Amino acid sequence: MVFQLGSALLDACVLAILQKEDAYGYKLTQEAKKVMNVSESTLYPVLRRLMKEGYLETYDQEYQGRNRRYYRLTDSGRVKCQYYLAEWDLFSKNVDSILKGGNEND
Amino acid sequence: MTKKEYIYHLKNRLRNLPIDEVESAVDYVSELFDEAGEENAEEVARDLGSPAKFAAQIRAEYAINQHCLPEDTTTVYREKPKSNNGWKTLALILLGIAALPVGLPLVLVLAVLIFVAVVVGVCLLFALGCVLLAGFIAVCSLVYAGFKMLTVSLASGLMSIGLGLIGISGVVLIATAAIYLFIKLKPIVINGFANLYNRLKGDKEHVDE
Repeated sequence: MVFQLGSALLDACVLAILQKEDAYGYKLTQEAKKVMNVSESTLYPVLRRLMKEGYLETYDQEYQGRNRRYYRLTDSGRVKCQYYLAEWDLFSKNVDSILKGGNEND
Repeated sequence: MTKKEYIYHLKNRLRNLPIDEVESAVDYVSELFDEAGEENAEEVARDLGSPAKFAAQIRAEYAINQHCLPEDTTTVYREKPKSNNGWKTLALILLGIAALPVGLPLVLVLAVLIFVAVVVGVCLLFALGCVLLAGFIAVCSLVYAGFKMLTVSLASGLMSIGLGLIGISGVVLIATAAIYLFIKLKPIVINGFANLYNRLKGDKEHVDE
């Protein structure tokens, strides 16, 4: 992966993944790794911080005798996710117009 | 590395953190190992990176959260900072930066810069202290001389005392201002390093340990 994922983009991706549905730790990291080249050790502090900032909450569920810790968005987490999506739309459009040039409408 | 070994080393490195922080990290790692299955333990350990590096990242993030958490977030988890004078925070953040895969040269450069900054800072402080002390002694002797002069010439004596007292208050003011500046600058410096850490950590290549 050529481009660096800044800390904000990491947050945004984690929130977006959870917006679709709740996920337990392992599943969340698997999903994240599909789209970003990050390690689980990078993701853990992100999850922890998002939780402390009130965007995520956790709950536990038993599965085959194991304990799974699920993550889900809080209301403020949903709001933050929308915010990031809007910011990304703006940002990616700007990057597109520079990288791909050509069809400048403004 | 097996799950047990990994968790043992991780716990060892995290032993200075609050118990719920340690447990949270251990739970997270446990789940990863359990879900992947025993046969994949090596791969999980490799993906996570060395326990030492992982622990350094956890400690750095913890320190940053303690220090920089904004006041208006509705957080459930905000803990009261312990008797933290900021230097410990800075040290943890620097450790976190060192744990990132940004290469040895950058770490060395940072280390040298920090060392130089510390030396310069200490020298400046010492110089300031000497100047203030000298000034203080000078104005005190002015007051003393003033008292002695009272018997000879009342006006001169009083003026000397007056000037001396003004001088003393000037010195005290400067010293207070210096201390105030120092206290104000410290969070700015720490925030600067915290931002550097956040900027650097973004994307991570898989590192084969």
